[in-house]
Amino acid sequence: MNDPLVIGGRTLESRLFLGTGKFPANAMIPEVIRRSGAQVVTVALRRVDFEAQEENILNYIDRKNCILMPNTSGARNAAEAVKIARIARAAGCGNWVKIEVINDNRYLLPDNYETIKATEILAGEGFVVLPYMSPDLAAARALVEAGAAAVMPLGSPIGSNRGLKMKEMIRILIEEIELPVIVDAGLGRPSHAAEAMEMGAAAVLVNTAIATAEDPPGMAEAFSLAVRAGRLSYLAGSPEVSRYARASSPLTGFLRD
Amino acid sequence: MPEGRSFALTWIPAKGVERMITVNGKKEPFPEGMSVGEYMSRRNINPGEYIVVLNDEVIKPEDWAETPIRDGDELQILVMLGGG
Repeated sequence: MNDPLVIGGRTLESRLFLGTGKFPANAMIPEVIRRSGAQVVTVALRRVDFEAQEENILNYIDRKNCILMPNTSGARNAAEAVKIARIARAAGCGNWVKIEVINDNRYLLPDNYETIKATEILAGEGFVVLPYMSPDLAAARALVEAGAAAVMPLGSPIGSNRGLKMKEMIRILIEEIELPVIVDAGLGRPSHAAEAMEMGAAAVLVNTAIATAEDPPGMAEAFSLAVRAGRLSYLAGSPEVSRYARASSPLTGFLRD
Repeated sequence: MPEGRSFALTWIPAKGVERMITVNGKKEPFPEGMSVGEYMSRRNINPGEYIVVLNDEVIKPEDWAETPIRDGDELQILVMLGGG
């Protein structure tokens, strides 16, 4: 299937983006990336905890086959997000960034206003900016204006596995926004990912559902297949829904008379 | 610095001289004339293992040895971790 997704000048075959948090062991990540087929992989920047002997996750990501997308998690406003993005780029992580500005600890919902400000600054500095956002049409339009490379509305709160609760709002973004719409957060099962792709999402970003499955590599492959199935369904054009039955064979020529 | 010699992290400055830096948000005293490279080797951190940011500027591993730390500097030692 020749159906590439082009973002920031890069051509992607896979429409499944992978988050790398919460895996039971970092050593599992190469196998998860392989079976997911993901070409875009998110990571986070944190202060070193000297007691915890933290490993650099980049040791487990083959950057020849993956685009690294550092997120700005921990940022509470645009200035903090900008600072994190600049550090990640200067440290050699490339120029892709997932803007994540959050002030809300209970639902971890993004602050669209600060996200737009950060997007404008970083896009102006040559970053490929993929903002995590609450699905709101006015905010999405402002992100387009600000120079985002895609918009990433949440399906439901981060890590909640609740699926596509924001479906109707995301559908509007898909219809109205010319940039790729990537559903990020809350997709808990492959069927949720397929649903987003069938609706016309350009891609999905999944972390918790894969990382916390009993068999993360197996779940990575399941998501990969679901994303592909959903995309194929979207391209094939879903037929109309009808209230009443419509017979599959002619309602004439029955053998009963 | 002669081999085998090391500064304890609780190095106490000479009387009347308050030289402090902030490392990952915590203040600590430091000896005059120390470079980023010397600080990292005291912490047993190898070049390239972590990201070092001095006053909001990333210091590349090849520049660690020649970058001095000064009184009042803010040093951040960062790592890329799993994230979504």
